[in-house]
Amino acid sequence: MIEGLNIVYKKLMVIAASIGLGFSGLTYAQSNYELGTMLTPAQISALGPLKSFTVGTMTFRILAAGNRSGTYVINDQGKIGICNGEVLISGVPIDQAKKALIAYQSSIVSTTVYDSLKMVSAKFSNLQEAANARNELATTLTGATLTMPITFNLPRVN
Amino acid sequence: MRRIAYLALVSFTTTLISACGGGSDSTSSCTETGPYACQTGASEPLYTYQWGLNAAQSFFATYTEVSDGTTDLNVEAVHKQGIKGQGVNVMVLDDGLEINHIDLKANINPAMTWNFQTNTSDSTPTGINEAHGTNVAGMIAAAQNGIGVMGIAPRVTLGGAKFIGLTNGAIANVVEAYGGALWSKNTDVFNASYSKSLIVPIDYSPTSVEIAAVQSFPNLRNGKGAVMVKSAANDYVDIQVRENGIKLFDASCPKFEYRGASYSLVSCANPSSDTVRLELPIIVTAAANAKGYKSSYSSAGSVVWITGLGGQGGSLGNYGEEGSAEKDLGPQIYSTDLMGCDRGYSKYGESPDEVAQFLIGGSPINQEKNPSCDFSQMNGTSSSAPTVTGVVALMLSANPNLGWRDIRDILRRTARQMNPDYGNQNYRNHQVNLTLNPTLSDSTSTALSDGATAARIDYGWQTNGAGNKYSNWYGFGLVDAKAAVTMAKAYTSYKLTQLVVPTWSLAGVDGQVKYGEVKELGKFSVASEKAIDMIQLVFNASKKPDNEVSNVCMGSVGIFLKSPQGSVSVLSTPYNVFYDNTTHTKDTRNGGKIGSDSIYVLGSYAFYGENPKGDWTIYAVSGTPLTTSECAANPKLDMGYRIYNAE
Repeated sequence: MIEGLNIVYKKLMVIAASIGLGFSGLTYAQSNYELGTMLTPAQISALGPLKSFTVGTMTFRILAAGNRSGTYVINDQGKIGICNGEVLISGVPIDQAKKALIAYQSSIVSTTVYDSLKMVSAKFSNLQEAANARNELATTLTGATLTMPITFNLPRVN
Repeated sequence: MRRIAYLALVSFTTTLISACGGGSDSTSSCTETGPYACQTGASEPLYTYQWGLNAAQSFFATYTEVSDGTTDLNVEAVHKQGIKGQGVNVMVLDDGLEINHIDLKANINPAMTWNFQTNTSDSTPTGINEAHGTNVAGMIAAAQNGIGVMGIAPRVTLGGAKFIGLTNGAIANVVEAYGGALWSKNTDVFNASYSKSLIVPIDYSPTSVEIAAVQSFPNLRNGKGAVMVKSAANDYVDIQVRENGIKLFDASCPKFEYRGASYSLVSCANPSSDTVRLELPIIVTAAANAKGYKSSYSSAGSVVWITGLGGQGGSLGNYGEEGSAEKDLGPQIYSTDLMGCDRGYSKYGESPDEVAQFLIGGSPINQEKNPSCDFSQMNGTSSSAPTVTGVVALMLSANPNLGWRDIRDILRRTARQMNPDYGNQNYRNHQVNLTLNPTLSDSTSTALSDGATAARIDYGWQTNGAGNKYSNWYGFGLVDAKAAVTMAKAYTSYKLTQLVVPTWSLAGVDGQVKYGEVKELGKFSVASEKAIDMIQLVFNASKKPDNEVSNVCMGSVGIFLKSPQGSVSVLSTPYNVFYDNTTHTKDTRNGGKIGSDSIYVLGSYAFYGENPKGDWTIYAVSGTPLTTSECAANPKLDMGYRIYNAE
């Protein structure tokens, strides 16, 4: 149902499964985190060493769990969010955004172009590579807005 | 004891008056065709309960404790002109939309519906209580067909999605919903009667997909741009914190003591806490009741643009006529419900102590007026937003060339000031003692001076340096359909549709906060003379060189901004929802700390139209934090600003 070009790179099923974009039974068993909940320092310590990535000035640690929507992460306050390794480019012409992504082709799982909004989405094979690409593009792609979606709170009706 | 016989007579009489076309607006210019051409909603059997469409002739007009008989959308003149939303696409993103509803089906475009739970095009919700979106949709788009109710834009094209309340780990794709998918890309106006009710500050962050998508709205409608009408939230008194739909606790705010009584002086939660409300294509909508007063629940703040009609917090009697608005009772907004008496807001088993008889499946009133339980009433800013969405649809129907800035402009210019003296009522004009637990002083001075230990924290309606009236309660005022459509038809000075997000400029470093005092945090100077649309401020705690704890407890800190022309806007208030803490294990507020890496952003429309040239002053008006919050002593803030111009 997505409008526009949708390029899927075949290798991805395997990679996605290995990084938690698709999930094994083992990770699913650990996946009952509630978005927006704060983990205490003690709870975080109990998880052992965690990989991390930065988006701009913000640092996130990766939890070894997820669900169908992505991988759980925590921010510097211990708040739980979920991230699917996507980078969104907006604010520049679509061709310019697509061209900028060529340099990251080996790490990109799929690309989606939203013509109506003039946005391009690239899904990366892991969160750290997505964050690195996002941060590089934020400095090199003049005029663009670079977003790496992480959901911490779900809206509710008013 | 119920007044059924009397009420039935009143209902019959008012229906007759409405059917005769109450009001003096002519239909001579109407070119609409069809069985209901140029007719008001008096053709619909439940129209008399739709006070928002014609208050004077509504059933509630004579119930003076809950209605003033005049507060409505001023929409009938537009309907008599035959302007009913034709040619406009409205998208309701919500907990679902019943696509086969008897009073909606005629307007639903099946190519504009989606369900993020099932990944199918059937947006009908499965939960028996998931009636919110169907109610919202009916307020905008219920058809004029001699059945039930009528929407504000009864000939609009309606789309909708099951977007909220997903289960089993599903999360909606925001970009798809916000115009990126085939089913959403032709949307002219989105309705978003939902929000994130947050009890701790969140960052204005490059991880927000919502902000990125909304900033791209100007690309929709072939470059004319779409808007999203969004509810201001219902958190004036407190925030109900829920988990998996179950209430955990009420995150409340301190009340202000004065002469042995206590008062909820200001909005507990700030609408800008959900940071997407800082985006210009979002039209943040507050709610008013049938008495012409802010609905008791409606959140207030300096990002509110407009006010719609949401009704009161509770609704008793046969139709909502019992009680008084002063006690938070009164009629809500009548609309479409999930069909059948076993689902939706009108169903079997509801309690007469909690809802009006109309909603109780099988009650005498229900059987007479709502026998299949296909209709209900709903309150909230969730209801006020669709009243504004409906008016926007009428404006676009009258003039499809309007761009997204034009829509905002017309709404603002045609809004009606309401309740002009509210800032002087219920001790709202008294200064707050900042050094004590929340109390009021006798002083009503508006002075804001460095080192003072008391200050006003609500200024009511103000007229800014450009002559625009603004209020944190009502924004620019109550929406006026007739005036808005009239202006839309005559509108030719189309505004620039491009949205350029300005970069941040430094407003000051190491601004000293002193809890219990007013402190001037910093000044910044602006050289531009281009009129202001919105001004935004960004804050983080200043870094300390010695690795001491660096945090500022924003639950205690109000941020006030003074323009070169002397206008003052309250961007946040002290003693807000971040301040307090319950003993609940999941209450993580703890003072609302922000740190040196935080990106805490506030915004204000109160300076709209002013020339920004000159010196601006940022004040911290700070209460005294709870000792248990362990706020850092003598904290400092670094600050930035950016100005969106009124293009």
